[in-house]
Amino acid sequence: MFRRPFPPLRNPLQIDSPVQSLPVPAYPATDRADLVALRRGDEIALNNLIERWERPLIGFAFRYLGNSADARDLVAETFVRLYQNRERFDAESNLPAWLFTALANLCRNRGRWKRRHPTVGMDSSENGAAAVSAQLCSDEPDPRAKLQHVEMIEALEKAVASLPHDLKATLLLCHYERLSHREIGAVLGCSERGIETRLRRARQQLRAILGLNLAI
Amino acid sequence: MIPKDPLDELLDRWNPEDPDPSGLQRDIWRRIADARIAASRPGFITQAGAWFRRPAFSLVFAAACALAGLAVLEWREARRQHQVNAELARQYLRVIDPMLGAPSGSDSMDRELAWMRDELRLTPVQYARIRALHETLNSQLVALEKERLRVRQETAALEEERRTEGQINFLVVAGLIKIRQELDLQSFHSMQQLVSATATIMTPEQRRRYLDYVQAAISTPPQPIAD
Repeated sequence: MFRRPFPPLRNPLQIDSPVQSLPVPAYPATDRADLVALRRGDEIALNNLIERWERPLIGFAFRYLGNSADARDLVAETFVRLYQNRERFDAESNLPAWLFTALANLCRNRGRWKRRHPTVGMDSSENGAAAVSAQLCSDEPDPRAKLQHVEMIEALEKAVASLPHDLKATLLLCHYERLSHREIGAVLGCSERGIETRLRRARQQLRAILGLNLAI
Repeated sequence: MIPKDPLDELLDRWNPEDPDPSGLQRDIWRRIADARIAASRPGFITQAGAWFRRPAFSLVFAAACALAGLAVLEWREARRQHQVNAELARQYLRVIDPMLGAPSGSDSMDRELAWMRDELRLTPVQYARIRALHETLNSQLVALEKERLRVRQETAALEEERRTEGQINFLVVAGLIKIRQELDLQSFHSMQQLVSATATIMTPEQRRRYLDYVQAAISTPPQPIAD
């Protein structure tokens, strides 16, 4: 449960990464105000927090699990836990770190459960193949390049899915949610050096897997 | 310009359409409401604790437990007594059936009939009449048993003679067999008469239970002796 203080999130405007994807929004003052209001019993504040954080959380869970229904389910569960633990938050609490910690743990547990109970979901590769087929039959130019792109993305999805929890969460939080190493360390309970090592290992493993897959 | 890492390029291109978050708020509030309802339902231990905090309920519960304990003790004692009486009834059968064993003397009559008094709840008058009946018959049974013993000894002597001298008087053997059959039949009829007379002294319920005990003995006449 969330007890230790998390470091504050950095301002997204200071991110100097060349990657152009939507970073995690950082509204520490607004988050704090909403947390205080929620603690006082103002339930509208939870709606504000949901609106502000649902997309980054769903994005993380969806990339982690590869399943939209599971992603929605776990994000909803994360907000329910936030509501149930509202008394524990104070003005210094780092809400994004708490949310991602709770969600990452839920994702890990769901992943374990799915490995023990394998099923074929709605987001399976069969549906993906149908989507590819539809795209190839369209009038858009260069279907061969499109097919190659789709295959590479599918290979990347499988490679990320095959990573262990610590490496996968580190990679997703760093690359897509734009958290700093310090922030990821706060989420995953690890030092900044540890996060650097995990990130390096995650990238090495991805290169190794994708090098094999893409060569086919 | 530094060329971009191909892995980063590939990661950047992985932009799946995020699941539509519409309806998520409603789902979250529904879950919160469900959790509230579940939490507001007190558990069994909480409910039991609340009940036991009421002195009246505690007293009634303790009294009910004590009564239940006494009832169990009473039931176990009755069961034990019933088993003892069943064993005594088997001994009684040996008393009234000379073919099952030796009849006892009149001095042990009270002991042999005690089970009947307890198990069938005989009144003192009934018990006195039944005891008198059994005492009257007992002398007959003793005589019959003596006669059976004599015949058994003679048979044993004949068997010894056959073994040592290698010869046997078949006429004498046939005579002894006939005497034994007559004695068995006589014992059987005496026992039937005793049971019948005893049963007439009892109430219908007592009679039914008494006949249950002795049914096996009075319904099987002695089999012919196969030599």
